[in-house]
Amino acid sequence: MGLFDRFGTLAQTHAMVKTCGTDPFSVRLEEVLSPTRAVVDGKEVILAGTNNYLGLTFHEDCVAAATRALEAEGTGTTGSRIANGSYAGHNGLEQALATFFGRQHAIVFTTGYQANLGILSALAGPNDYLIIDSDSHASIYDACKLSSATVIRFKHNDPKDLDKRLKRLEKQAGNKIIVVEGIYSMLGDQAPLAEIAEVKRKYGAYLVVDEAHSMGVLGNWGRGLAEQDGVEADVDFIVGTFSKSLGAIGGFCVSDHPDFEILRVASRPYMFTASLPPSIIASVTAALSVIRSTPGLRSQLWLNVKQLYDGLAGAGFELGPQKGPIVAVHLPNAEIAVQVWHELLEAGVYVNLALPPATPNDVPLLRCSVCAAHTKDELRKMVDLLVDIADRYDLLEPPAKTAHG
Amino acid sequence: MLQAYNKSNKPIESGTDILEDLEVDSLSVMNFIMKLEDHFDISIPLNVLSDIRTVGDLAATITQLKKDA
Repeated sequence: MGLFDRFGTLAQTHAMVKTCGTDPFSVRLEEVLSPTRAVVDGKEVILAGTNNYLGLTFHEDCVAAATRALEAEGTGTTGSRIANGSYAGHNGLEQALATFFGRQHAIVFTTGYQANLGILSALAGPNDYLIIDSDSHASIYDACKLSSATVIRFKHNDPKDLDKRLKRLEKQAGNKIIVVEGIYSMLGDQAPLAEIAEVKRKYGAYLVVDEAHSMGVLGNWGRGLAEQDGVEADVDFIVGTFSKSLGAIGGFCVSDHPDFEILRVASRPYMFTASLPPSIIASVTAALSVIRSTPGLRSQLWLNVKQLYDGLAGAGFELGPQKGPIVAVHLPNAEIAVQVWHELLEAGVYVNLALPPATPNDVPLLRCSVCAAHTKDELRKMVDLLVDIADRYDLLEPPAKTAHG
Repeated sequence: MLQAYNKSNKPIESGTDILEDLEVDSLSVMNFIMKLEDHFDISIPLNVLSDIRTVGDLAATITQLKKDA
């Protein structure tokens, strides 16, 4: 058997996807003009598949801070923090994150993926239990593989199912660690965190919330779903990323656990990776200040979310169940999804194509991410183009067409 | 219960490979597992699930989990 034979089905799907004329998984942005504009195939397109929710990638404070750090401290740290040491910026960003979340401790990882790997694999030992939502991000599933714990899935966003599973474990001695996400990355729905926190208290479990997509987006201060739902005290560990609202790359965890600092010598994905370069640390630190000082960005984002979500829902599209910066347009099958995605790009809008098995319930999705910097005109154009394309594929119910037109 | 997922209607024996012989896709397997978990009031850990290939493996796992509960 050949090395790559087991990817046969994957190769077939990829070949099918490419027949539309563009490989959705290798789109080349020839020039990036702003958080919401780029040149693809020689043509300017609206970017709506970026997770750049607050549009901070070109914010002048972030760019200036990164430039200063780059010139002062060089291009990279060339090693891990336990070997090469920490720069002042690493400690400064950790302090800023702890302050932002009102927590005692913060640790920074090189990517968001590694933050989940590093935290979950270190928290859960061989006698412990990781109890994860079934729609969890790949980084949470992979973290489970890296950990030596017993891994149990509960039904997506179902606190009753979570309760049942914890009840079954009542007699087991190990720690129980529940893992959920603030906003789920495919459908954009939020965890029912108050109910999950109640179950957590009932069984004396620990609760980890991945606020990757909800930091900067939810809560009056942008601290995410735990803040919005008023249950921050029940969340033992918040994990997050710098590659969405904060506009760069990296990951983190904050906590009040008294023994938290041991992770620096126990968490392998922290210990054995080069640390983030000074320019990234500086831009993220600046972005954190921008989020704190500019709540208007968040209000603008939600106005934009409302415009896109209501526009598409009103036209008859089936969307994710909850309004949020991820607007997931459901399509009937992978072939149509690929065609619609391609036509949308040709017409000047870039969104993400998400295909089974990466999507919940095997539904093909056009995953649009809304940015605070999108203009009303851009959002209107997105709705109009999608309706136009969907009409040609006969995807919308006739009454909805009339309602729109 | 597995019969519902057995599209090609092959005979189900203890040596039947769930993924290969019955051609059940991974989503259906996950749904099937969740139904089994509800039915037997057990949780089948993901790390145990990855070692299960045949109907016999599955039955043995469920029996063991029921005994441990």
